[in-house]
Amino acid sequence: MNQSKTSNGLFFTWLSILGVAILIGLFAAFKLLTEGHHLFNANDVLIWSLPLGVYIYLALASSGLTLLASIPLVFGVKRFEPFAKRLIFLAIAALFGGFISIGLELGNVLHMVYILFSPNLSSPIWWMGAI
Amino acid sequence: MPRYAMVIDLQRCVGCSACSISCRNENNVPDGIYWSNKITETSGTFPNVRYHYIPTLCNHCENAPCVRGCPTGAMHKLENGITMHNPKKCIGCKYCEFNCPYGVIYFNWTYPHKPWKNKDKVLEGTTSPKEEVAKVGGNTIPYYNPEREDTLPGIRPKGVVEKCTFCDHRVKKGKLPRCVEACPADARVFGDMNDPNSKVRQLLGKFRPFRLREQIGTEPHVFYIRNFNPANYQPSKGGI
Repeated sequence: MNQSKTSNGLFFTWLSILGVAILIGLFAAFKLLTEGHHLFNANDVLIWSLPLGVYIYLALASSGLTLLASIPLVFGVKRFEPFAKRLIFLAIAALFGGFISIGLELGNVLHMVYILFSPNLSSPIWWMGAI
Repeated sequence: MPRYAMVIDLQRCVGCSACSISCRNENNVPDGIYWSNKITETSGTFPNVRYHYIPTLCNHCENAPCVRGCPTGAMHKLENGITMHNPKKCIGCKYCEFNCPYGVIYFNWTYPHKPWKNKDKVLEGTTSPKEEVAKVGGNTIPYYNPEREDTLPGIRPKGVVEKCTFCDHRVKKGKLPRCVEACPADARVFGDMNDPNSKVRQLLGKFRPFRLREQIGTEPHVFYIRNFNPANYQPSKGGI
């Protein structure tokens, strides 16, 4: 009895710490999405900052997860079949995270259509973005 | 088609920064962004010292690394050799800034001309910056130059890069770039590289020009000629 009570107390303490952390996270997300990239203290010398690294990490993790998902789905390896669905889900989730972080890094996300309409094939960053 | 270039005569240049100030007025450049800039350097220890001043701007390179790297073609070359930027296509990836060997491209990190949006009165009984702007038409800054709108948004929005355009809106009308016109010492000479009789070509033939970071092969089209050194010393062979 006594034991369950203490664990209950711990549970709520833990929950409140988590809640505060989530609130801080939501506030930070709101600030970032409304004010943009300069909050990362980037300037005209350090022009690329944290979100770009996060984007690369998440985008490449997503393609890696897709590769893993192809083992049961494309090559029909039975042993990996239970993972197929969650790998796909995780890949899509990672991709969304990647899109949000590249959105934070870019100054003008809405102009992204010009990557398709007016591509510059000599640009390495176009190839990275397109592939 | 002409190929525009600029020659900067360092002997005539007095380092007054009139070019930078006039550029700000002409192109409505916000704080923290320098279309026209300078390299300053001091050398030696007192009393044997020397101060060097080199005015800089976009070099309008022939092999422009910023144009080559731009994923959407927002940074592009005009037929007359000017490296031009189209903010409508710019996604703000800052790759041009990363590529530029001269550091003359700047990014609009926040909304431009923020201090002019301030509604607080400067002193009791005076007006606020915002009221001052409203008095003269309310176009973000009191010294707004509408002529800039010919080829580029008058004030570039947040989230895109911007840089010197050789005042292409003036050049198009047959006028000189603003910095050239404003230079009180006639240190800046603007002209057509393809015309053998232009002043630029005459000067480049007469003096031995140098360009910034020539060795990386970007073919910059801002040339520097001569140098000025008022220092004097007693002739001597030195000694051991």
